[in-house]
Amino acid sequence: MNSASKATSKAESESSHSPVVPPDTDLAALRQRLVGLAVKLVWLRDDAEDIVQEAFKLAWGKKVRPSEPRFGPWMYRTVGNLCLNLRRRRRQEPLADWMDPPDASSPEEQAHRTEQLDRLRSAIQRLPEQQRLALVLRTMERMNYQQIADVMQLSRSAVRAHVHLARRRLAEWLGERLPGARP
Amino acid sequence: MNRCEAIRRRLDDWLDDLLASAERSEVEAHVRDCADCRSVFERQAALARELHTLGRVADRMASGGQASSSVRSYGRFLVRAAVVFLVATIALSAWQLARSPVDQLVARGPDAPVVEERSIGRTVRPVGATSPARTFAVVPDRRRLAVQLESDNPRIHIVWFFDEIRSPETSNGDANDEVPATSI
Repeated sequence: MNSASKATSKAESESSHSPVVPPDTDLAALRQRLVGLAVKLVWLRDDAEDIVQEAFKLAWGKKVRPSEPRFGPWMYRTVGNLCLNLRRRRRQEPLADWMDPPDASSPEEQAHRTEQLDRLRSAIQRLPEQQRLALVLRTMERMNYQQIADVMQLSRSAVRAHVHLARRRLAEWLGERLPGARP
Repeated sequence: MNRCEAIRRRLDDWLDDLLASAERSEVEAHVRDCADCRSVFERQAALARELHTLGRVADRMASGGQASSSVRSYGRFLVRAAVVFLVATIALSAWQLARSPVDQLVARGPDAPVVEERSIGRTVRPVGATSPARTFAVVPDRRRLAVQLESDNPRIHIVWFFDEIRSPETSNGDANDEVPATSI
């Protein structure tokens, strides 16, 4: 059976070019999304806010205007680069205060849950920069591969390779300690 | 390339929900039958769930809101609010106690009368008052009497200045005696 000759896969629909930032997005909403991206990369809210502010200032200085199609990818790329270049001076914010509301789990289970996520966060921070950014854009920002390619100025296949390698490394490092995974 | 390798090559597309339904069924059928591939897929699926959860935590942090489970943060807020309330209450009470009601209403200055506080040993009921009032101060010319009326609101001090008072000899000492009053 030749999968490639089957009915059009969703992968082909990924090649359609939906903009990183839709034209009618207001700047406040975009700013909040960019802060979200920055937090996912540096895990310090104050630093994330500063980075996004810096990115907007750079856009102004380089005359990259919201009306231009390149604005969205440019902003995401700039925020990503500023985050990756940031020399971490402070400990990352603890996750406990931002966790989902506990269900019927005990405090010990909730603490264990927090510890698992913290371990994942640390592992992501150890990834090579391109893999880290591609993984975050794909799995947390829910961008498609074409949008990530526009942001990172790479080919779609290069982006897929980065995401694939990032996933494989994380699975190797975290292994059986992932909840629901079996040895 | 063996069958398992071909299936695992589709892993990322399967995770990203990019497979057509026929392809997806094919992959899942193999994973059900192959323990090795099942282990790989389950591990990656678990990782995908964890990444999604971590992303939600980050979004919550970015928005600056607090998770409803943030007992520590809510507890800190309650403690701070209680401290502020307690300090404010103590300060207000001390301020009220430190100030004589007369001080609040008697003008100070070069021509202000020296007020002598003392009880004259009786109560009077000013015209229109609903309850007897306690006398607490007498101005030195003894013609005017400052009387504090009962008030439900401890912050409000109602002081009536009377232009004329009866001498003790002309009254029968009745606590319900009424005197003409001039309110301020």
